[in-house]
Order: sequence, then structure tokens, then C-alpha cells
Amino acid sequence: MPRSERRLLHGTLDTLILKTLSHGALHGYAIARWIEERTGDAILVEEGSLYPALYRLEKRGLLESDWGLSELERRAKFYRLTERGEEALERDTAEWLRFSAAVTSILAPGR
Amino acid sequence: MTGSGGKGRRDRAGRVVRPSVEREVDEEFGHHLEMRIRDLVAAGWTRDDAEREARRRFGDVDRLKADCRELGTRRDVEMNRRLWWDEVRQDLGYALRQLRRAPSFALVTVLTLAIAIGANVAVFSVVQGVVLAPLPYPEPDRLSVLWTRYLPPSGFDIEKFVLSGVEALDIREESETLSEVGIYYAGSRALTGDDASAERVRVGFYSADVLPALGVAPLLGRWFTEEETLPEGPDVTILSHGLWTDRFGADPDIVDRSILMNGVPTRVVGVMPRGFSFPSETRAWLPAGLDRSNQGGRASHGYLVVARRAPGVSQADLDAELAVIADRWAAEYEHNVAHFPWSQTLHTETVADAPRVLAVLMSAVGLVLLIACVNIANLLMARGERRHAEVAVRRTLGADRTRITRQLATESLVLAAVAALVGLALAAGSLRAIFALDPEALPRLDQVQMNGTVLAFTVGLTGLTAMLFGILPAYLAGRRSVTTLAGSAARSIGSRRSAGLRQLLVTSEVALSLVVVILAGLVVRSFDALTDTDPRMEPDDLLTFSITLPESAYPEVEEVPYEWSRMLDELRAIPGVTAVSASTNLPFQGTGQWDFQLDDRPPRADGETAWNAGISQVAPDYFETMGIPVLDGRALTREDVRDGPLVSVVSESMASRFWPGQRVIGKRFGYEIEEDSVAWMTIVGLVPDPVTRNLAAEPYPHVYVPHMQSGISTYFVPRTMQVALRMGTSAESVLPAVRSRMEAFDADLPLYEVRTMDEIVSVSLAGPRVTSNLLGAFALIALLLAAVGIYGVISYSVAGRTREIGVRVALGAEGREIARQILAEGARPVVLGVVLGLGAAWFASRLVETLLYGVEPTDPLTFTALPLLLVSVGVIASLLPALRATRVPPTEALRE
Repeated sequence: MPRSERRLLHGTLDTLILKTLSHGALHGYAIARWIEERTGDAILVEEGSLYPALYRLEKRGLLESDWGLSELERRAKFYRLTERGEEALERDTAEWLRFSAAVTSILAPGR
Repeated sequence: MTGSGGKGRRDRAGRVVRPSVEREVDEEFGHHLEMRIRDLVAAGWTRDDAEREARRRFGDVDRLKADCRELGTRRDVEMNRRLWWDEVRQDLGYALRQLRRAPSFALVTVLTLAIAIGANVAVFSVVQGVVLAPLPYPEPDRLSVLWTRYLPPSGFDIEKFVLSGVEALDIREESETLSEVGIYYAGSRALTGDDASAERVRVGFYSADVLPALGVAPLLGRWFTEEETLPEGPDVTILSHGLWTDRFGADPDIVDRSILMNGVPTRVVGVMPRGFSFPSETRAWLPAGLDRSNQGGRASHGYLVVARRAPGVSQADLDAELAVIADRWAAEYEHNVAHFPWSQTLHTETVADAPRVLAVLMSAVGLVLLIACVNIANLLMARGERRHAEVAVRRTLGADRTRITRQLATESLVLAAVAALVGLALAAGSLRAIFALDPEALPRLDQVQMNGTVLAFTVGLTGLTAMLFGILPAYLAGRRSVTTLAGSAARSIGSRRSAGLRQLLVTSEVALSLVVVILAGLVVRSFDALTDTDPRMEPDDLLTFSITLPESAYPEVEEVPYEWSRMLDELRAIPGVTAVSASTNLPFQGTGQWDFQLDDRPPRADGETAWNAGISQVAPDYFETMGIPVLDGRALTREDVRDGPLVSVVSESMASRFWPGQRVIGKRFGYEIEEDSVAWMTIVGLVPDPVTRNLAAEPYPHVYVPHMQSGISTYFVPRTMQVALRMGTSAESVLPAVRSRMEAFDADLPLYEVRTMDEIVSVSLAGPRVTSNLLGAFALIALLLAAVGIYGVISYSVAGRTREIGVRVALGAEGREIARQILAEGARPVVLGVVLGLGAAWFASRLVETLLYGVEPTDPLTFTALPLLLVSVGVIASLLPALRATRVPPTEALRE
């Protein structure tokens, strides 16, 4: 994968994860399913790449996690947005909308 | 899928225990795969296929695991840091809230500490500027100054004597340890012309090596060349930055311009950079005009030497070499047996007495800070006992012991930091005030400033202070919270122990302050002794200034004494002036010494150094003007004319040293004017010894000769004299008249060094005065802090025993009995502290020994009166709480 594309995907994946968690705490598999259902495999080419993104977001203080019991009655790690995470989501969303509107107006004017 | 967080294991404080990062990643990945398999199986896959498919979709498990582990580890570090800062923020907020809730406690603590820290910062900033800051020359450690020790047969041992020109040149030629040897002396020159008023400035006469030795390049132009500094060299000068800007408007084309110095056109060859002034307060430099051809004998002393040691040469190496040179001189020249050249670093020379004075001041403020810390520790302990409940509650809520200790440490730091800020402001303000009053108290005071070093010191000191006063209370609080939970029986034991601790604190506080108070007492008494020393003249109502009659305007040397008389007659006519005279050197200004012979004794043989005494050439009415009593014989008058018999008035040490037990009137001493021609002076009067430099200086033999009789040799005729006017009114009202008379006499003669004699005396006392005032202030602070500390401890102990006292009063104990017991209880640690403090002060007084004048370091009065003072302070501080205790109505006490 070319570097620029990967960086774009990183940023997009991070934002999508934040969006996913904006409704409540989820474990990794649930997050993967949520993204998969909405984007196919356009973003999440391999499911495992979700996890480094989660750890990175946790390190940046945008997410926090707790251990709980999943529907398998197994210990699972549940991720949750922090205050800073919510702010980041708002910021990223606004930025993305501005960016995509600009690109759209060039690529498909009139639409 | 609604996993509510927090189902994991928890520790005692209630935090979720996290698995290690490794297990975390394994478990998380495992869970993901398991979920996927379950979904696939539900969609109709076989178990085997589902497992394979789940792995394929997941991607490279090993690489992802490695990535996640690394990220996870970094995440944990990050989170711990964030947690730590959160706690710090919490602690800070909590500390500030606590202080706001107890404003009087906060105010007392902050003020106490601010005064103590401020005093330390102030003194340290002086130490920094005066002693620690390097001299403003490149590689300043390699600079040394040379002196010679001089042992005249008059029995004096003059440690620091200037070298003779020949000796200095010898050293310059022979020394291998020195790379440059600069020879110089100081003088003054009148500046005229340039449409500016005439002024007299201090100048330095430099050999060619002085500036290369110091290593300072001129701002404009160049240094002197070797040729320029030889005798009969050209009239050239280098200006200081100050003179260049003040008098010549910083003219960029000043180099090669000609200016008038003593009326002689002199070409400017350079301007030195701002701040360069060597020796201090010099405004311009001229070539020294020095080589072997124009030097008198080896005994004709008058040169200062500043030298740069070769790289790698130590001060000791230089001294060793000088010793060898001195041995050779002793072998070759009989006359020089009493001359022992030695050296010290320029830094030691420049800071002079300052390190000793500052060591005393620094110790005193250090002790004051310790006393302040003891006081605050005391307050915090008392407060800590009142905060029992709070600490207990916080511990039950899960705060562990280190967390509590840390919280208390934060409170201490906040207190110290706030105090340090106030202290910095106090230090800056007080420093400026003190040294504005006495700018001559220490050398290099202009270097003193609040710079990075001072700030770093303040920060370090603040941390140390917080630790000193905070550590004991924090430790006790940590322990106490355990005992509280264990039960009230343990608590009362704990508080009995802390009562003992508090008594210990009072003891140490008293001991520390007694040391400060005694040191200060000695120095203050020494200063009193100094100011009580008889100046042996009357300094009040005397205006003095200096005048020089330059060769250019007064070329006839024989006329100069008459010109002086004419000038003094002019000044005598000013209304309000009661007497006028002049001298080549007034008291408190130092003095030159001349060698002489005695006619009732054989001349000094070769190999013996000559007899000598300080000398002043004075105008008529000198003793009357200065208020110096004539003890025997008569004063010098107008009748002592040029061609009359040569006469002299001598001082008491001169009489007692050379004619012990005899009347000196009629005795004779003589100055060798030329080879085999001695001018014999007959002694006609006896006066007290003049003060040579300051009141502490040992009296030295002195002779006074009439300025009119200086014509015996043109070499003696004084071209510079200090004029003294005794006034019936203030100096301010007389000075304008003096100036206009002098203008009428010769408009090109600048008055310089215009000062009243009181100012001169005051300046000579500046150093001791500042030391004495500062130490006195520190002692007062120490005493006050001790009083507050004792009062605090006794009050607290009485307050805690209100019930007990009430019971005893109810059972019939008399108020007086109770008061006596409380007083006794307060007195015990005070007396113990006084005993310990006396012992410590006995040793500490050695520290100030060299600063004392007229007082023994073990001065009995100081060592009895001040301990008594401290005991009385202790009694008074305990008296108030004791009296309050006796007034407790029993009913109220029992209700508590």
C-alpha cells in the first residue's frame, strides 16, 4: 500500500472508530462488525489492523478501556470515548465534511 | 453487547487491575477470533472452515500482536504520566483550597517564610555578584596582582606595599611564569576646553602591557605601543566609555582628535568598551613613561602590577618564582632586605574583605531560615492534629499513605513557593534600599543583580525549605492516620510523643536564634566601638575638595606655594567660613610615607631600611581648621615662611616611637634632598595621630610640615592639595560662593572630590555599618520568630489542657499555681536551648573574629546579656498563655 493512501486510511479509520463508539462502549469485534457493515472491506482490509489503531487512540487519551464480560461470557476489553475523544470526533467530522465538500465540488460540480 | 466496564479484578483502592500488555493483546485477539468463528458457524460454515476464514480475515496475527504490544506499553507509560499529573493537579487544587480555608495560618506561614527566604536570596545575590561572578576579563583566573611586604625599622609590618619601578621591571624581565606584566599607577588630570566646564578625572598611567594582560580590546582605536610608554613619549591617551560619552558626546571620530589634559594637547588613540574601568573609577589612561633610566633607587616605591600568568601556571608557581627573585635581590642589593614580593589573584584582590563579611551574613540568614522552618513545622504539626479526622476519612476512602504524605508535601511546596515569590520581591526591594544608602559598603556592588543564578538558588532553596519544614509533619500525619483507626488509646500516646517533639523544636529554635543574636551582638558592639573611636579631629562642619595646579598654567614651581596661599586667602573672605587651610592629604584618605634621618642618631646603615613616617604638607591654620588639638608646643603659622627656620609638628606615635619618654619639642629629623644634603626640621609642636584610612586602622607616626617650606626642593612642591573649610553654616549654602571665588581665581581649575568631612568619615564606616545593620536586623527577626514559636507551642499545649486545668481549678488549685507550672513548662526547653546555643555561639564567634574591632569574640557582656534576653523573651512568650489558662472558668472547661 502506498504511504499516502495508508496515512489517509489511518486518519479515516481513527475517525470511524471514534464515530462507532459515540453511542456507547463496545469491544473490538463489535467495532469491526460495525465498520464492516457500513463500508464493506473498503476501509478495514484486514480486521486485525483495527487493534493497533485502538491502542494508538488509547495512548493518545481519546479512548479508554475496561474489562467486562462479552456475550460469549468471556472477558473482553470494552472501549469508550473520553471527553477528549468526543472533541476529536467533532473536530475530525467537521474537517472531513469541509474537505469532502471541497473535493466533491471539483470532481462532480452540480451534484 | 452491553459490556459495562469495571467487572475486572480490583485492588484495595478500588482500581481495576489490568492484565499485562502481553496477556491483554492475546486475550483481545482470541476474543475477536472466537466471536468471528461463532458468527461464521451460525451462517453455516463448518468449524474448521470458520477457523481458517476468521484467521484469514484477521490478517498477520504475529505482526499485529507485536505492533499492539509496543503501542500498549507506550500507552501505559503515557497513562501513568497523565495519572501522575492529574494527581499533582488535584493536590495543588486541594492545597490551595486548604490554605484559603485557613487564611490566618496561610498569612503567618507565608510571611515568616517570605522574610527568611527573602533575606537568604538578598544575601546570596550579593555573594553572587560580588564574589562568584567572574571578573569581566577573558580567562580571569589567570590574572594576578603583585605586592611587596615592607618591614620598616619603625617596627611596622606593612603586608601590602607597592613595588618600586625597578623591582617591577626586574620581575617583568625575569619572570617565566608570567606571560604579561602590566605596570601602572593612578593619578588625576584636569580636562579643559571642548566647550565643557573644567573637570578633574582619575587617570591610570599604564605600561604597554597592562591592556594585553587584562586582555580587553579597545572599542575604538588601539592600545598604547611599547614606544609610547617609554619616558619622554608622545602625549597620547585612551578614554573610558563613560568619559567618551559624557564629555565628547560619543563622537565616533574621537580617535586622533586632540584634547586638553592639564592644559597639554593630548591625542586620543583609543576608547575602551563600556564597563571597563581599571583601576576602579578611572576615566582615562596615559602612558606610564617608565624604564630603568628614570627610576630612583630600588626603594622608591609607587607601582602597582597586574599580570597574566602563562597557561597552566598556578598562583603557587608564581609565588615560588617570586620567592626566588626576592632571594636574589637580598643577595645582590643590601638595601632590599626588607622587600618580599608576593602575589594574589586579581579576584582575591578585588573582592577583598567581602567573602569574610558575606560568610557571616550568609550563615546568619541560613540560621534565620532554619528557625523559620522550625516555626512552620510546629504550626503544621499542630494543624495536622486538628486535621486528624480529615486524614482518616481520606484514608478510608482509599487514599494510601504515600498519597497522604504526597498531598501534605504538595501543601508545603505551595506554601514555600508562594513565600519565595513574596521573598524575591522583598529581597529586590531591600537590597536596593540598603546599598543605595551605602554604595561603598562592598566592592563590585554594581554587579549585584537578580539573574539566572539567583533564581536557580531561590528555586533550590524553596524546595529545600519545603522539605525541611514539611517532612516531619508529613511523616507524623502518615503514622497518625494508622493510630487513629486503631483506636483512641494509641492516639493519646501519639500526641504525648508529639508534645515532646514540639518541646524539642522550641529548644532548637532558641539555640539557633541565640547563635544569630550573639553573632549580631558582637558585630554591633564592634561597630559601636568603631564609631566611638576618637577621630582625633572635629569632622563636623568641614567642607573639603581637591585642587591641582597643573604645570601648563603654573610653570614656575617656586611660585606654586604662593599661589596656594593666595587661593586660601580668597576663600577665607567668604562669609560663613570661619577657617580655611589645605593639606596634601587629609585624614581618612591614606597617606604617603617619606624616609628620614634623625640627627641624634647615626644614619641608617646600608642593609637597614630607613625610618619613615606619614607626611602632610599643610597650609597655615591647619590644626585650627581641622579641630586637631595641639598637645605641646605650637601650631604651624604664617610666620613659618619659606626662608625661615625649617619646622615641623609631629604626631604622638612619632614622638613615642623615636623619643620615648622625652619631650620632642626641639628635636630634629631630616629629609635627604640630594646626595649628602639633608634638610633638618626642628619639631615645634605635638598633635594626636591622624586617622590614616579608617577608625580601625592602627595609628602610624606622622609629621606635618609647612607647605611654604616645600621650596627646599622642587620635588617637594605640592601641585595637588585638599582644601578644608570650616563653616558656620551648611555646605550647600557655602559651596556656590566657593565655586565663584575659585572661578575668579582661575576658571580652568576644576574643584574635585567635593565632600564634607562627615561624608568622608561615613564612607570609611560604610562596610562595617552595613554588616552591623544587616546582622542586627537578622537577629531581630530570629528573636521575633523564636518568640512567636514559643508562644505558639505553649498556647497550643494550654488549649489542649483546658479540661485538665478546669478540673484542677474546680478541685481548688490556685490560679497562680497553675500559671507557675505552665511557665516552668515553657521555661524548660528555653533554658536548655540557651545552654546549647551558648555552646554553639562560642564556636561560631570565631567566624566573626576578624570582623571585630575593640570587642573580644568571647565578649563577656554579649555572652551574658543576650542569653538573659532570650530567656526573658521565652518567659514573656509563655506568660500570655499561662495567664489565659488561669482565667478559664471551670464550668466552661469541664463542659468541653
